[in-house]
This record gives sequence, C-alpha cells and structure tokens, in this order.
Amino acid sequence: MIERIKNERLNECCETYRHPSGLAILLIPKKSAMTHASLIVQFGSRDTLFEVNGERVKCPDGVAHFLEHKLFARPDGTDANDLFSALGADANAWTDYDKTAYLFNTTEDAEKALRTLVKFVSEPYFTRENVARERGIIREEIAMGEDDPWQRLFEQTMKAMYARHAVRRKICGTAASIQRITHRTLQCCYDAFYRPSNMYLVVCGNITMEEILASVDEPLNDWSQRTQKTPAGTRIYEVDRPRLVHRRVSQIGAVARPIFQIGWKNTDLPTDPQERLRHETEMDLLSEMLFCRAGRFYHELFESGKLSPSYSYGYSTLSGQPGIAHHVVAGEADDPEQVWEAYRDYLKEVRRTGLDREDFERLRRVLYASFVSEFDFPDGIADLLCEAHGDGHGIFDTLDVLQSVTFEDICALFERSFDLSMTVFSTIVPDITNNDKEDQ
Amino acid sequence: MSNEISKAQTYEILPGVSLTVLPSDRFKVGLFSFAFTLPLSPEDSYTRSLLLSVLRRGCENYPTLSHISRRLDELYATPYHVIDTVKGNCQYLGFKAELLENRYLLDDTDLCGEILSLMRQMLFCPLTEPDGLLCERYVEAEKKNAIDHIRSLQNHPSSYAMARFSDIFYENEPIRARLDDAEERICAITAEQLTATWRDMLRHAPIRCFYIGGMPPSDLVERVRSMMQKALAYVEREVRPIEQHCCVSHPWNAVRRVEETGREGQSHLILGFRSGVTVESEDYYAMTLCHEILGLSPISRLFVHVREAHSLCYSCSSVYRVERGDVMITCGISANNRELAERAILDQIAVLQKGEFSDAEWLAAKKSLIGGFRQMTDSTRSLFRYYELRALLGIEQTLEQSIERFEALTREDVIAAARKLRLELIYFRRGTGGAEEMGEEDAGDD
Repeated sequence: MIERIKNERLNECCETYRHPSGLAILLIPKKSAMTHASLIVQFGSRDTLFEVNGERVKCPDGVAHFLEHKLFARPDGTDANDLFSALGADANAWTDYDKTAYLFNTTEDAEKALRTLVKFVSEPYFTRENVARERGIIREEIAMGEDDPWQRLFEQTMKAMYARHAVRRKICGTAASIQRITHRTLQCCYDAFYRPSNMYLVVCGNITMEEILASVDEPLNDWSQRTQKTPAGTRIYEVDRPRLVHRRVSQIGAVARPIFQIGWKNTDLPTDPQERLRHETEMDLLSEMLFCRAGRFYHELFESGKLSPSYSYGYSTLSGQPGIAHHVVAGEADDPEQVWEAYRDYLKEVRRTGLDREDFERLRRVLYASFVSEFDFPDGIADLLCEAHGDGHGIFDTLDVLQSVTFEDICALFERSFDLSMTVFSTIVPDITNNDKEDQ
Repeated sequence: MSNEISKAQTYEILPGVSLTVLPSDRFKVGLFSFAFTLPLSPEDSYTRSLLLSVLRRGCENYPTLSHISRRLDELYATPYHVIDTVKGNCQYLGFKAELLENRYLLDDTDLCGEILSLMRQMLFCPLTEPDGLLCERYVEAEKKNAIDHIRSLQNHPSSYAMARFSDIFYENEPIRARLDDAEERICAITAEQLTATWRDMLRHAPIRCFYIGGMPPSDLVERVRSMMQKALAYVEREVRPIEQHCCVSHPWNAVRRVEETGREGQSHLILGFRSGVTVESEDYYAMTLCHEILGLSPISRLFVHVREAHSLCYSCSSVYRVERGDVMITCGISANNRELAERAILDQIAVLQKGEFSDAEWLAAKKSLIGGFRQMTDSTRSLFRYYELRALLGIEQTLEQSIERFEALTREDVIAAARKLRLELIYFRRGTGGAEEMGEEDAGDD
C-alpha cells in the first residue's frame, strides 16, 4: 500500500511504499526537469566488523568505499556509467560512515534509468584484476585527502574524541589498508549487506510511484530471490569509551595560518528516532544561538581580528548502538589559544547570564527558512529524504518539531551540554622552520 | 502556480540602471542581484575586491557585521553574497540575495523591500569616518583578511595549483591575479583610495540588476526604481557606458612548460589550451560539446582513458572558460606518473581532433550536455548563471534555443571545434610524494 503524507505549508507530498523484497521506496513527486534517484545500502565505512552465520568477519578499513568504486565494473570490461550515459543519465556514488549511495540524475528515461540502477547494483563483478586496477585510483583519492589540512584536522579531532569508533578512521581507508582488500573481501561484504531488505530507494522528480514500481519490481524480485541463498550479515558495533582520548591535540602541517577545531563530545544521545530528531533540532537551535555569526562569540572575536571569516560550527550525530554525537566549532586564527580561552569564558558567561529569548525566536525562523529552501532542488530533497529515512523519521517531521520546541527546552538542554571536561581543543599549526623557504 | 519559467525581459529603470527579470513561480527561493559594471583594470582589481569586503562590514543603520547578520537572520536567513566576478572585459561588483517567496513566510514581512533597502544602505551608505572616508578600522581589518585569504590558498593544494597556473597562463592579460605581489599591493591600499574608488563606482558605473522569482515584473521594476531614487539622494550619477564583450586570450606561439615545487604530498598537472571560441562565437555550441566529450560527461575521455584505464588519478577534470575561449585540464597524480598522465591527456585531444571517437561516445555526450542544460530550469542559481552572462553580453538566446543548437550539432562540428584547441602551457606542481606504492596485494588470493 502506498502511504502519502502531504505538508500543506511546503506544498509537498511524500509517498512511501514497502516492496515485497523489503526495499523501502520513498518518492517526493515534483514537476521538475530532473529526476533524481538514490539507492542507499545500509553499509558504510564503520561496518568493518560483522558476523555471518555465527562467524566473525573483520575487514580492512576502506572496504565499503572500495566496494562502491568497484560496483560500477561490468563483466564485459565496461563501466555501469556507460549504461546510464546511453540513457542521458548522470550516475555517481558516495560512501559515508553508515551508508553507501548509488545515484543518478536524468532529464529523460527516468524509468529505464531506475531499472538500470537496481540491476547494476544487484549484479556485482569483482575480479583480482579489476580490484588491483582500482587501488591506484583510490590511492590518489587518499593522497588528495591527506593534502587537505581541514580533513586532517577533522581526523585528529575525532581521534581525540573517540578511542574506537570508526569516525576516527578515514572513509577511504589508508594506502596500507586498501592493499589488503581483495575481490573476496568485497564479495563477502556484498553478500552480507547488499540485499533489498537492507536498502532503500529515494526518488524526487517528475515520476509516479506506479511508474517506479513498474521499473524496479522485476529486478528487485530477482535480487531478493538470489539473496535468500546467502546469509545476511549482522553488524557488530564497537562500544567506545565515554571519556575523551585526549583533551588537547596538535600537529604541525602545511598550513599558512593555524587552523583549529573545538569539539564537544555528547554521550547522551537518545535512541528513539523521534526523540533523537527532537534532540538534534534543539541542538541545532542551541548551536545557532551560541555560535552564529550574529552572536556575541563570533562578533567579539571577529571584530578584534582574532578570528577570520573562515569559520564554521555545527552538530553531527551518527546512529548506532550506541550512537555518537559531537559539536564542532572550527576556524582559522593567528592564535587559536585566544579563541579557546574565549570559548571557555563565553560559555561560563552565558551560563551565568542565561540565553536570550529573542535569539531563540529569531534563530527558529532561520532554521525554518533553511529547511524550506532545501525543497527547490530534486537532489537536495533526495538527500533530506535519505537522511530522514535513515534516521527513522518522516521528512516533514522537522517542521513540526521546530514549531513545538520552546525556549525553556533549549535552556534545559544548555544546562546539560557543552561540558568543558568533554571538549577537545585540536589545532594544526604552520611549520615555522620551513616558512622562509619560498615555493619555487 | 504555473510552474513555468517565462522569457527574460530587460527593463531600463533609470539611465545606466537596468533590470533583467526571469519570472517564475515554481521556486520556493528567488534570487536578486545588484552589480556595478566596471572596465577590467589590473591596477584596480585588488582595490575593488577590498571595497566590496569593506562595504559588507557595516552601514549607517547596521554598523557591524553582527548587526547585518542579525538583520539577515530576521529576514528569514536570506543568503547574502558578495559579487566580485570578471566576465570578459568587465569586473562586476555588488551583492546577491536569495529570497524566500512570500507564500512561505510566516508573517507579512516585505522581504524583497527589506533586502533592497539593506543592499541600498550597504552600497550607498556605508560606515564612514567624520571626514567622509570609509571606516578606517574596517579598511585595515579587511586588508588583513584579504592577505590571510591569499596565504590560505596554499591550504587547498589543487586550488593553489590552479591559481599559480592562471597567473602564468594569463601573464600578459588584464585578468591576471598577480599572486606574487598581491600582499604588497593590498598593503599599499589606503582608505582614501578605497573611498575614491567607491565614489567613482557610484557615480559612473552602469548598474545591472537581475531577478528570478515570483514577483510580478512591474512590481519589482517599481521597487528597484524607488530604491535607486533613494540612493541618488547620496550621489549624482554620470554614467560611463561600457560595451561588454568577451576577451579572447592572446595566443603564445610556443608551448611553455613550467614546473614548481610545493609542500603538499600529491602533485598537480594542469594543461592550458586556447581556442578563441567564446560564448559569442558561432562555434561556441560545438566547442561546448567537444568539451563535454573531453572532460564533463560521465564517460568523458578524461574519465575513461586517463583515470580508469591507467588508474593515474582520482580527480581529472576540465573547465571551459566561455568568456575567454580557454580550456584547462587538471589532475592530481603521483609525481612518477607525470609523463604518463601528460601523454594520456594529450592523446585524448588528438583523438578528438582526428575524429577517432565513437558515435556512441559523442551521442552520449550530447545527451548529457542537453540534459545538463534542461536541468538548469530546476535551479535559480543555474538559471542566473546562464541568463545573467547572456544579458551582460547582449546575447539573446533562451535555454530552449541553446538546446536546439546543441541538438543540431554534427560529428564534423565537434572535430572542427577540437582542431581549434592549441596547447599553450603545461604546468606541473611537484608534491613531496603522495600515496605510497604498496607493491602487490597479499598472497593467497586468486
């Protein structure tokens, strides 16, 4: 049965259907030129330890990402991109900590492209030769990341926060870890997790649910039958230590000015999806109230020249058993210690004087506007839908939560948040001994 | 709601002030831009960029960035961006805002009116000293930010490599950024110079506005007229018209090779080609398709034959600068793969020039290209980029008309366009090593 939910304020509708194979299909119909579709498998970079038929399997880091790359290979030596290109569709894929997505955008033949999407993801082709060839490409992707000081800073901060969780490791893996990935490794992971019951399909564009079902029903049924011959994997969650690994970390790197992150680790994340959505929405509001560019913290540091315009802040969560959550403030500064001191003093001051109700109302409007704005772009909508479904709530639920949150809720949240004893100060500073040597 | 996009219309608001409107009620967020048009001037480029940053810092009613940010938050978090771009022979300076459409507002805020008012204040009534000069504190602070930004380019190795490449590729062109003495030039800028530049801009520069959204054009025309009439209370305009056009880069007569050394691990190889084919040229459509086959389509020559076939790189991309006719191909590689990558890239150019590509390949690229143009109707930003450039250059060509031109292209058109690509510069930025070669995989797998 197709379930339909309409949001009157946005004038948008979301349709959901559970296919007999177990695949959830979600659609936001839109009269757009582009149709976007993403097929999400709930297998990501953190899933390197799992159980199949009672046996524990440990895979090298980077296996989910490697599998994503390799799934495009076809037995005749061509690439799945060729199939999409023939239809005028543009295909791509990405890997995150908890999921991998295979997607396309197209302005024509969306139904054929959907069928192609399901078929190519359901028909892997891993060989020793094509795996060896991919290593060179992924090595360069890893090298590109290693040259990015912001990515290195993030990894350093995560390693200081989490002793074991996969978020402290690169999604791509390392040059050494991908060397240990073989075509058998990929096949094992594929068999364990790539099955319709562990996946969902999000679509946004000028297409109906009936048209989607007509395209994907047959390949999904075939796939579902094949997966019955292979046992599913059960992921094993590594339980992290609640306390920090380090409270201060720093490295010397090829940066022109010091960059920093101040990361607060939250160990109190609700597990129920609706409670978690509420918590995340409240945290987003609190984050804006404390750290937005209109606020006192940024204003004083920026106007005094202690902080550059390159500044960001935000709260991130990852579901799991248990999940993880952290808030990070990041930026560039000639003297990050000044920013760190200001951060501590500021939080103490706010605890003393309290939050501002006018800020709350103003920033609730900011979050509302930001959410509505996402609904202009089919691929942006699909991303929202992907995140909402993965987190276990409806795409429009955020608006309801925003409306119901009170200033008192945020004050209560602040009381139990931003504990300085659970905060990491992480920096990358320039190598001053080499600064006099000019690039040639 | 009709979900349609009507034809773009340009209105003369006042002498030297025009507004191009692309009416559409299909979006939740519209877009409005306001920009001064200045002739490209290498001596003034840093001064002008600094000017925009200073104007962004504060105005009479909102004296700090915090006040401005707070005001924008109140106005439904309107994204508000600086415009500082070069297109052809002109530099455009101003602001751009993305406005939530009225039907999604929670109250009766006149969002458009308030944003226009804020833009007017920031451009015409910035914070000044008692002697009328732009705020000295903001001038000095933004000079430091500009210098820090230039130094921080090195934090992004691929961007920095492209910046260095561009400095060399455009060595004798007004568009050259001149990174080598940028800090010195920025340091030398005074509040007096900046103020003079600002006053000159207000007085003489033609103004181009652009809007996509659901507001009736007649309503918007009146609002912009009202905004300008308030602004003219502060300045007497004497517009110096500028004929805007593309700038084809001057060709060099030999292929230059430049190698530099960086501190990053991965090396970068960038090849620069000149073609003389700009968006104003008759064969612009053929060159665009040629470029799609080369580097943009999902099965482009660079993707299939440089990245996938040789496993040389993760990122190998190309860009076609349509206002200049230049094509740049860039990739991140290990230093020991330099010759192989260079040869592989040049082989793809040769394939295009000899016509040794398959029908399936170029037809797929044509589909991809046309699909990309059709998708522009789903995004105000894409529509803005397409129509704004054409409005500035006086090119009357709708999206649909461009698509018809692409559909009519033949294989021979593509080959003829490819033969106009002339290699001019090979830039290699050598890194310190990149990802290690790890040898064969572990034994035991077959």
